[in-house]
Amino acid sequence: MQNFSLRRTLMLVRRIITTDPQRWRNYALLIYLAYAIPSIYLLNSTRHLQPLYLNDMLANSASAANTISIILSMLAASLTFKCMNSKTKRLDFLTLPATHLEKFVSLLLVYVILFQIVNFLAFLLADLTQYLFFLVQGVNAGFMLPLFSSNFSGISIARDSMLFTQGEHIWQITLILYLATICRIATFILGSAIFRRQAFVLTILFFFVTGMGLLTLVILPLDDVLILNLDFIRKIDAGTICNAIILAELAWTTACCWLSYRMFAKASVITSKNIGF
Amino acid sequence: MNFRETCPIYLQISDRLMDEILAGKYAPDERIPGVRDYSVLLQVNVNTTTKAFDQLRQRGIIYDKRGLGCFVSPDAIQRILSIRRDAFFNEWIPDIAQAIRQLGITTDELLSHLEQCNEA
Amino acid sequence: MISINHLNFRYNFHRPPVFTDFSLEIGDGQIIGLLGKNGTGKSTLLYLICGLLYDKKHSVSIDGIPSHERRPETLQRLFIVPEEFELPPISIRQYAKTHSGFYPNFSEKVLEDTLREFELSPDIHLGSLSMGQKKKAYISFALAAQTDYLLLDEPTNGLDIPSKSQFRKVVASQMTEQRTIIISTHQVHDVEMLTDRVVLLAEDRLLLDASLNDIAERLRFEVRPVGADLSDALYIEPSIAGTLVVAPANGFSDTTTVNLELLFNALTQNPEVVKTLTQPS
Repeated sequence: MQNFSLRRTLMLVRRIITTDPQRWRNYALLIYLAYAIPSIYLLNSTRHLQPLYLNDMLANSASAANTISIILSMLAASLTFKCMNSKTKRLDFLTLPATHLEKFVSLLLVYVILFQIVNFLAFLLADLTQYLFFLVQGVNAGFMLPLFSSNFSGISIARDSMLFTQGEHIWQITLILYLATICRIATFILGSAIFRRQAFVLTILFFFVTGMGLLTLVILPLDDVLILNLDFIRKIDAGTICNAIILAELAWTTACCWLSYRMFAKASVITSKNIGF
Repeated sequence: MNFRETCPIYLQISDRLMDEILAGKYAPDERIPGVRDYSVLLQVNVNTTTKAFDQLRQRGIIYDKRGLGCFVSPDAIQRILSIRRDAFFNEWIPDIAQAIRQLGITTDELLSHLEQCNEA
Repeated sequence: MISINHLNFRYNFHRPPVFTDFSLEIGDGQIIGLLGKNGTGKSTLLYLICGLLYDKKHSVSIDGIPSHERRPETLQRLFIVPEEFELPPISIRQYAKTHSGFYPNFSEKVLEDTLREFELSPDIHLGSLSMGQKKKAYISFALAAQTDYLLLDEPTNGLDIPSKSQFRKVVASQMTEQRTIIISTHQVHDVEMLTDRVVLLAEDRLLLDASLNDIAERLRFEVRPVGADLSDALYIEPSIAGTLVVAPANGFSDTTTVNLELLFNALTQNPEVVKTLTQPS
């Protein structure tokens, strides 16, 4: 196992960012607009309603932001292996003196971690924008942010879930929902490694539809099925089910990351196909 | 530098330096450019230039001063002229002899042409 | 030392193999001309040395370390200037700042000197350069990295005549005893004077691997006037001045310059020539 050099990894991160500063500025701007425009539009079209409904409006706005955030994080993950999608780029990246792991980690640091930071900051800025936008017009709309922590955290989803009416296992369910986000990101990272072109769209087609569809078909119906079979439920420890799901999600994430890493480490500069293996 | 078809490069480089010394570009006991600088100037491999310098050293036309570089020998000009005279008699003259034989030129014709050239 | 041992390589089963039982060793401190017709695998060989391509048996290694592993210790001793490459839209100075850290022997001075020779400014924006200028900028960075192995794939393609001259100067000045420079090219005359050693590829095998000194000792390259005796010639070509001839040296005391283009033509057309070169002297 080769030594891992954090210094080199950070040099790689710096290289990715400084290599095309214009592009990153554009991305940051787009993310900001992706939040600002829908929230202002949504609130604006409903501001004539009474203050009583305003909280609900903010909640809808925040939910929209949640969806946008999910889509953006998948888009960002599907850009991870963009540095490998042409012969000249592959040549450039593969000959850089760093270990495969350092290169892989640097990509994750940019397209997952750094993205999340920019994502959050953009959301805050958009939230501030909509607050000021309405304040200027004499409407005290309030921030999405307080709702951000409840809606985004998924605790309210967990609470609303009929699965556990006593409110037990709320933290496990929250963890399941967070890990679902990580799973989605890992799936798109793998998609980026497999599909050299149009990674985002193709990944959705192959993985998201089948993978997430399965997940949806399992978790949501499980809700209804279990309510109809309360006796059955009592026989299986709910905590075990939760743990099983958590393990499955961790396994999926690990498998996706490991597979993408291996494909990257074994990549050649000349591939006759558009697929990365 | 354009290179002639058949004469080895290192000999051409060696000739060139000898020409420069004869022309007075480098005086006796003056420093000549180093091997690397000369290679860059002529756009050739350093090893080729080294070979040329080695030959000149062997012939006593240049000498080394450790740490300072290569210098023109005090009697370089005499040595170069002597080498060139030998080359003239051993290589040029036989070629001329063959040519005048082929063309049917007499020795007298040759001599009178030579005198005319020298007068001009 | 680059070692290639019994390499067998092909891209896929639709195309013929690029290398069959190919072996080659490249020692240090040489400038090597890698020659061969189009499609004989010159670029492929360079990629294999860098670990950008690899065969199943991992036959290519540098100082004992297999290239396919792409270890940073090996990669920082290697630099390849490919025929086609992309440069980011930043200045040369910024490019050097981001990339020089990966090469421990990187020298700012060599970069400045080389750029000056190429008549480029370090603050010039890479996106605004012509293809030839981009190549010169990239070659400058490559030389400044001061790697032990420098691989150049068709470096003079796209360079105008003054630039070719600048290129030769720059390579001549950066050559050291520890460095190995491999120049893969069709433009034989651009690099003839720089090379110590010649590696010639044909179809799927090694046609010749010899130093220019050895070749000069065994073969003569002459221009013989029309009507001269050609009985000892291994290969002839008509020319303006008469006939270009490749003949065995046979103990002549002086040697001739090796005419690489003539040698290449001779080798590809007359197998006898290879025998003359590979016989023990």
